[in-house]
Amino acid sequence: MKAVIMVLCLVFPCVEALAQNGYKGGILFQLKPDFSFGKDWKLNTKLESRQLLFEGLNKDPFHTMFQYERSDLEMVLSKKVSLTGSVGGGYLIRLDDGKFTHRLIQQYSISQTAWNMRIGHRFRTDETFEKDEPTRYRLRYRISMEKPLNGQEIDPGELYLTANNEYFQTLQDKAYSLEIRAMAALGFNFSDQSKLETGLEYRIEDLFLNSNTQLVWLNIAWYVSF
Amino acid sequence: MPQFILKFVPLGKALTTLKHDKMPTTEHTYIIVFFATTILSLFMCINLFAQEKLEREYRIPEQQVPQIALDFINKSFPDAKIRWYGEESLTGKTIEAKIKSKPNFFSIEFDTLGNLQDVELLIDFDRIEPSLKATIEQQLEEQFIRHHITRSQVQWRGSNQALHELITNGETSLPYTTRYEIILRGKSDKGNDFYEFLSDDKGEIIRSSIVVQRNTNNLFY
Repeated sequence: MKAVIMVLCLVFPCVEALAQNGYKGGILFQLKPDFSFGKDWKLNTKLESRQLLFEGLNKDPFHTMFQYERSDLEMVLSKKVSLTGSVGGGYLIRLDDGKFTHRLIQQYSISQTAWNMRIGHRFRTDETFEKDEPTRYRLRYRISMEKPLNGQEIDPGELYLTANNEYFQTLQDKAYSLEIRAMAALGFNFSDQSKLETGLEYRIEDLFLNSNTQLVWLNIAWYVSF
Repeated sequence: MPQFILKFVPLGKALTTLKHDKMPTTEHTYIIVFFATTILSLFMCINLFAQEKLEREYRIPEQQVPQIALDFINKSFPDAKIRWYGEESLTGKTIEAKIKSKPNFFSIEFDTLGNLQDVELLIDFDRIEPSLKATIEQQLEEQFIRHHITRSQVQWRGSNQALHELITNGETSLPYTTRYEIILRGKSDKGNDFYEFLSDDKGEIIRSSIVVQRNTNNLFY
């Protein structure tokens, strides 16, 4: 019960603010294959598609829809630098409304074990390039955890709980903003090579700017390892 | 409110979708490619699942535990909170009781008939007998450039009475064997890994193995 309360607090940190500014939500499909090379190298890829189900502005009527929004393809090459840590660099291309966006990614990640949970820390910087837009620089930190729902380890054929919380600091054309994301999901571990996670993700974008947008996604992610 | 139109998707007669009236038709292609990729990955995952070796641990209710195992635990830990687990591996199935009996953590293993196999007690490596500790450390230093012990347990095997006395009094006059299980992070010429070592009661290492780390990509991507 404590875990459920903790997760709800993570996912809905600003419920009161939901009535303000813009909001939208929908389904986030993610396919995440990773490919290992040798002992230390790994190519992590992600194909993501966003399907809008509702959007609106403060005090406007609630608009529902079923509309494809955008697709991302991301590739991050990572190398283990210690038993629990790795560094990586990558590239993301986004197709949104017929326009392409390009992003360079640098990251350091480290994992640890506490009780029967695994905890991951990810430090990431990225630079986003878009036609007719100033370059956007972001500094990100994400903490993630996963906890088996049966036994001490997440074994094949078992369910688990996972949650994460991420903070973005963004600088674009001398304007600073903050974005916060939180996600709680239920996972099913088919095997060490395959797992499926589905849950709710909450995002609040453009904090400290004149208007912000809040997003709620039903997140469906499939991880496959080769 | 926007209007919705029900249309057939051109590339799949069986698939219908609710479509916003302003959505361009090319977007159908993205959706179909995405679902096709997902379905393909599903088949790949099923195949991978079939190749997975059987090794898992799971909670079991007390009702599934053999009575003689329950009797031993209730006698040795009359007031403690007990969690029962089933363990399956290629070598067979066992039943394990995990017990927090302040300040100690015990893991007690039984076979499926309830016969006691061993008792494991979590210990602080720095508190074991100095000469034994020195013997183990010497062997680890020969093998690793650098190492850090993350977990250590003492393992006892013997008769039910001997193990009961060890649990309750920490000593017994009955015969029993002692082993030490150590998990560590080690750096050697071959790289960094987690290792599990088993030593006898003199500190001589009798078995070692690399601990395979689970894929935790979902924590980072």
